[in-house]
Amino acid sequence: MSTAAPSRPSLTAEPRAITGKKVAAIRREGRLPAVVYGHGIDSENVSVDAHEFDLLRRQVGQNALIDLSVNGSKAQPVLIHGVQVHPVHRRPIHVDLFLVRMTEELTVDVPLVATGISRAVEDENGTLLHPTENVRVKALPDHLPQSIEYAIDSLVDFDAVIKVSDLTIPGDVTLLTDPDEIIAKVQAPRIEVEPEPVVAEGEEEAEEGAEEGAAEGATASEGGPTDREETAES
Amino acid sequence: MLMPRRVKHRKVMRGRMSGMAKGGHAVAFGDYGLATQEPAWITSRQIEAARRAMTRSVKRGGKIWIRIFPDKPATKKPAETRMGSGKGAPDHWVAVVRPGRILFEMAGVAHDEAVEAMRLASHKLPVATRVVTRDGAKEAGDGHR
Repeated sequence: MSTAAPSRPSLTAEPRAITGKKVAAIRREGRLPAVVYGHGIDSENVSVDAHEFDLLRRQVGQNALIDLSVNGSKAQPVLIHGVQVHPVHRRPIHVDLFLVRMTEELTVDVPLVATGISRAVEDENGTLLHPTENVRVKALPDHLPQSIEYAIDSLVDFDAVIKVSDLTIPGDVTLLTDPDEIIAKVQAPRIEVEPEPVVAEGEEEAEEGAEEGAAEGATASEGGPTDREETAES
Repeated sequence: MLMPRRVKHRKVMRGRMSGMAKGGHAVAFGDYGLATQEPAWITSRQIEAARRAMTRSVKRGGKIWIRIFPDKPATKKPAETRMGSGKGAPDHWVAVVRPGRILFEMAGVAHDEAVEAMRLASHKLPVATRVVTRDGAKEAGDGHR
């Protein structure tokens, strides 16, 4: 289980007056629009260097505290609360930075990391599934875990499951996710059985009929919308 | 092939495909996803062909999720018919996708196997695609979790 590093990474930001669709111009200049907000303070529009943010994001976990300095002012601890990603080119287009109070507990999602080897995966060729990838925890900003590790060695067959209650949570962290939620299980290997093409007599006739009189459009064997009721019933 | 069990209206208007995917643009279930780069109507036949291509490529093991569902009826007028006289008969089912939409997801296979399976699947689809990973990076990661 890894916790936040003592020396926090830093990020510099500049105040931003441009809002709305015109922020596209900021992005073209290699900067990323962002907003800083927190309890008891007014939100502030800022921009950060896109490349610097990209490097920072690869370096730190999703719950790492970052020292943010806006326009050369004193650095304040922030959390990357949300990153909007462009659906096509998958690059960040906007960042939410949450200004934390070090004495106030935070609720965050912590990613789960599987370790070890499952016999059901190695020997029986199963597929390891993670129905839940994160757990929600509450802790002080200094004690936020970056990730929670769990061993999958207990997954010896396809019936075994690991639940949230099996996780080892640090004492200064409160778990909020339902303890009965499954976080890992192994699915039996899929064996593809190719069904033999069986064409019933009635369907053959229907196909011929449809080719001749194409006005109806779909044929019974194709399962077109016209015969959806028949297909569902049969 | 995928199709709705029952629908409220037999025929629907064609609609527009402008803009980008509003939802379903992140890998949610598996480790790898196949994202479309173009807007299109993807028919149930194309979805099934792509699924089969992926399934056969990985042979056994792994899990595949289909993230789109063809719930829109597409109509077609018969051949050599004059225009007019109303809308054609329902012919097939399509899923409307916009750029960024994840079409398929895979888990439980190595990175190279997943990329190859999705390359084969993309040949069955009418759109340009891109393989994306769970963390959002394109074609990144070693496939082991």
